[in-house]
Amino acid sequence: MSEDRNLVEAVLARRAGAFERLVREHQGLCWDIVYRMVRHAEDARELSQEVFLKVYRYLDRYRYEASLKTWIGRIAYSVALRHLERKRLSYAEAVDDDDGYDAIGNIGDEFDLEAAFADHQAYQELHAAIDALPPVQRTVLGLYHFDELSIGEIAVVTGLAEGTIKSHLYRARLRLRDTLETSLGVSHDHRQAV
Amino acid sequence: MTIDKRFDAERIEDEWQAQERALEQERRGVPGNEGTSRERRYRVLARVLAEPSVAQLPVDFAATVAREARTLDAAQEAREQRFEKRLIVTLWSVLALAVVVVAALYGEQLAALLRPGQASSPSAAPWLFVLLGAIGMSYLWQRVQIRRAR
Repeated sequence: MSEDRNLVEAVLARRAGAFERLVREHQGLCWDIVYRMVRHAEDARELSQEVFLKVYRYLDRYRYEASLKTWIGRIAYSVALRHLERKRLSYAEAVDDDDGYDAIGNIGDEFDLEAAFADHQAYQELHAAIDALPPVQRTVLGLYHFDELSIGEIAVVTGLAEGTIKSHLYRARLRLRDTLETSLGVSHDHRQAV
Repeated sequence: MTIDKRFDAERIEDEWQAQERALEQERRGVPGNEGTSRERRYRVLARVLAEPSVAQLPVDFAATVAREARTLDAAQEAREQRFEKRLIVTLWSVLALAVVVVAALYGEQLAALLRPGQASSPSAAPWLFVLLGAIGMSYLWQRVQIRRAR
């Protein structure tokens, strides 16, 4: 937090190179959030720039209640969400605990998953399934797996309740596992009817 | 069809734990053939999800944004200077108008005060001090501003 404070104070004092350093340190997370939400590289670049200009403009309002990383992440998420709203794109789906329940099951151990996954087709299908997830679910998944944010930090970034985040993670992973198995042609041995 | 909700919750919790174990195993670099088949599938998923996206920000993104921010700063400063100038012009205009009004209303009395021999009279002395004090304060304030600007 003291590193955050030093950097913020340097930017507010308009010290040479300070803002560029802040951008370089946090552009990765900002990009991950915005790009996962909007899934359009050119729009994501423009929105990322908008995010950091907002950060520059409103940095004096940052109160050190959360880490600078999550504060910037929150701005990135809001900017991306507003963009989707402007474009009237659906960004979330209702959380329904029963959905995806059918995919729960055990699979036979005899299947050579690594070898099968080496198949480029399966890899591409999994990526396509990730792309097809609703933006909020895809973003939450990325923040958790790629950016390694905790569920608490994701709650700060997205403004969602921790239970909702867990539900998004659970359902998205279950759905992707199902896609993976379908594309690999794996049969569910002990799937139990619900 | 009826569903035993407790059984349902247990299965969901069990699945969640498998997802979390797989993520933790993948981060620890556990060999691919270890763990249950379900965990291995989730590990493949965790591996794919940990890949960076193909599209990335341009390498000079930070420098470009910093330049843009400086441009905004300069524009903001120019706006403030324009406002300051307009404010000064307005205040000078108000002052000039006030002088004209005061001259019209009290011109005779002021002229009488400024006639030779009157300025040193006891009734004029306090006003003279006020005038000198105002000029002195204004001068000192200007010096402070110049020093601060340096």
